[in-house]
Amino acid sequence: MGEEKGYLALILHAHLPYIRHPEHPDFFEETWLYEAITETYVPLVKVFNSLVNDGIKFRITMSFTPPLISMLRDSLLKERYLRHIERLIKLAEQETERTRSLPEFNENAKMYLEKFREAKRVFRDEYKCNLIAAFSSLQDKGYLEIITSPATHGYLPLMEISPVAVKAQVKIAADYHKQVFHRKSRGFWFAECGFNPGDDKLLKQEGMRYFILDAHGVLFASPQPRYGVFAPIYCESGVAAFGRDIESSKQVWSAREGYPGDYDYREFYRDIGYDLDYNYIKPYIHSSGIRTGTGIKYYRITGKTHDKQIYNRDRALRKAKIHAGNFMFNREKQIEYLASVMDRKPIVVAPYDAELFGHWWFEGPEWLNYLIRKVTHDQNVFKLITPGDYLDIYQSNQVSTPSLSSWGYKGYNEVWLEGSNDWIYRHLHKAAKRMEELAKAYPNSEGIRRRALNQAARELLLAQSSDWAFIMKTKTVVPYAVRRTKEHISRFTELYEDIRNESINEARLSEIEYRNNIFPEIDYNVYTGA
Amino acid sequence: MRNSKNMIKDSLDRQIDPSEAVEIHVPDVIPEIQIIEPHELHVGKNPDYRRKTQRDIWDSQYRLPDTYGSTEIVLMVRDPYWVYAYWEIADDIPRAVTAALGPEGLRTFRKALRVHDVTDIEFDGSNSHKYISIDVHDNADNWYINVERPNRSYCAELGFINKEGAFVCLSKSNTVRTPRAGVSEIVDTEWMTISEIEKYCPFHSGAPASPEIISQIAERMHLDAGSEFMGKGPKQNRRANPYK
Repeated sequence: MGEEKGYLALILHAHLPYIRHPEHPDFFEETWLYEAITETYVPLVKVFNSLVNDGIKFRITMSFTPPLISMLRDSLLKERYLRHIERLIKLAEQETERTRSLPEFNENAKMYLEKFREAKRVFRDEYKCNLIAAFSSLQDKGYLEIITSPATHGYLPLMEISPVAVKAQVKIAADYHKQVFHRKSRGFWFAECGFNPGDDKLLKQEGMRYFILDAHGVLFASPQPRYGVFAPIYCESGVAAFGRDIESSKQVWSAREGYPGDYDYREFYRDIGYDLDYNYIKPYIHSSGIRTGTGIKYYRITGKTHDKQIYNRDRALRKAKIHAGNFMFNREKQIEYLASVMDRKPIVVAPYDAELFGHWWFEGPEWLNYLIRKVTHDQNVFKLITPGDYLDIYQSNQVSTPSLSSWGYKGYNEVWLEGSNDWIYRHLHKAAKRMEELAKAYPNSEGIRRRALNQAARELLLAQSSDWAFIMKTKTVVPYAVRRTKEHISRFTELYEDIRNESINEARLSEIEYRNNIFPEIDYNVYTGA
Repeated sequence: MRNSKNMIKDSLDRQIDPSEAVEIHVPDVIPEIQIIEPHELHVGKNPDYRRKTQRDIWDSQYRLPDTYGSTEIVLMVRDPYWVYAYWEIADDIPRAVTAALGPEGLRTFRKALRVHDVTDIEFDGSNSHKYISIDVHDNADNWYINVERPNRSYCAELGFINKEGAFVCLSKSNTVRTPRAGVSEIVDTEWMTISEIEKYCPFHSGAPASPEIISQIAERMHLDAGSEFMGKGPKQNRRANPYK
């Protein structure tokens, strides 16, 4: 047993946009959260807890964005989740009956029933509807390092015109994180890895020590980074930038070459919500009668064919185990090589969207489970580490300025600035400018004006979520994203005018506060820039 | 990347010991400066110059104003070779401007942008390294501008231009810096210790990144929407799914 030669930093970025519609009893986009709870967050908690119970020491970094945390803490959404999972359990029960004479389908129906019951048990009974506490406790026990992200996942490089708005995205996130996790965030996950040189100084002000970039953000840094992406660089502010490793990313991300596209894995697109008889499935799809996914999917990817074969859980899990072994073996070879050419222990940074695990890649949580166990027992070339821990070991690093970059298509700002979404920026920028104007005109307000100013800040922040521009670009639920952008900007403008005209309507304000209740403790004074 | 990934995959399918399937991609060559050419990053001309009005956009109960009644131009960076400008012009064009336009006034002048390369200078309106003028359609209120050189600073002026090229500026934009499109040419290494007690000596051998890695990045940034990496990967799946 020699000492390890290097490190692997697995980073899971957990994020969903803030979607909460108290005005509507069954709001389609809210189900994104419910699906993520059942398919990703609960399975991750279960994997981590099983590792802890088996005495396995591991270190994983997770970023939780403030909108996701806010939704997971919201009592209305908790209640609605319980209703949602109850309904799913009922459907799965019905499915075990319906498939009684079809043993292969029946096996799968039982698997889903078990999964949904477990999700309910973990969510409701084990954690009293507080999943954040589950992750927080894993952090307190030394297994997770949880870091924050811009307040509403704002894409900061396109907010450059308003430094105060950028600062607010960082500061509000840092404050909220501390309030929720009772400790400061050591690092920062820029939304979409979108980094603009200089934004590191804002992290410094909040006591954060590092952030993560896509590979070229570090490789194109100046001066040339001596170790490429296999060691952090320090910005002049002293905040460290870690670069994503391309190879390990590709093995997991790429649908064709990567593991998730394996033919034995579950097919995401064949859901009984679309496949089964309309009258049978109607009570379990959206209340408008539009067919939607339910989460019960019986087929495996099979191949490039529409003729899908039935999912075989054991076979899929065997494959997940092989893939975990393959991933580990590749990292061993990579790190052995890097260690031989570097005069320090290399770090391989492998960040992924958390929702890839379980939601998109159904077997992802099991893959992670196998991987962590294998890394612990079957090799001693590398250890798991968090970027924060690496900086504790290597306090001396090269000084270099990272490049503006993102992990979006083509690597810069184009995903969020192109024909479908460029119209939003004149409105976002104007609102940010007006928010600064208001904060400077009415600093330290009290009473109803304070409430109106705080709500104006919330509306601005919600309008700034990068998700809306992303949805417009990827053409998924475009009308919703457009509506959200317009709604928040319009509400902001309404509040701006009311405050300016000293004619704040209390009833109207209360209604808006009730609808968009993110950041209850927000202090608009951050927009004074002081 | 040759066929290494496929090789790994085939091996997995055959369930062979993964050690046989492995190929390592960590190269040992000093990276060369790699510049991504503009024609590789973007195909065709100005990708989007048409005017978009708010009326084109789906609307329910909320309507955003077309303008906010000011005269201003804002520049944003899209990538190493393109910046984006949006602007608005208030109805009451200042007297000074109409005076400068002369007796023929707005009739002989057209709306135009001047985009200046202001890298490392304090721009005073006339000292830029170079500039390009762009005639914009009278109804246009935004434009994508090809700026040719990465890692430079740009500032745009919004104004009127006449046939002789006389330019009257209405508003000057913010200054933006485009990113690099390749590895930095600067290799000096400076080290920092956060405790600031010690300083590392600079090293002189090559970084563990190679033209191969760089070209992989370049490939990723160039590929069209049909590419398999970051194209049909999980992030792209959202396109067909209302997930995010």
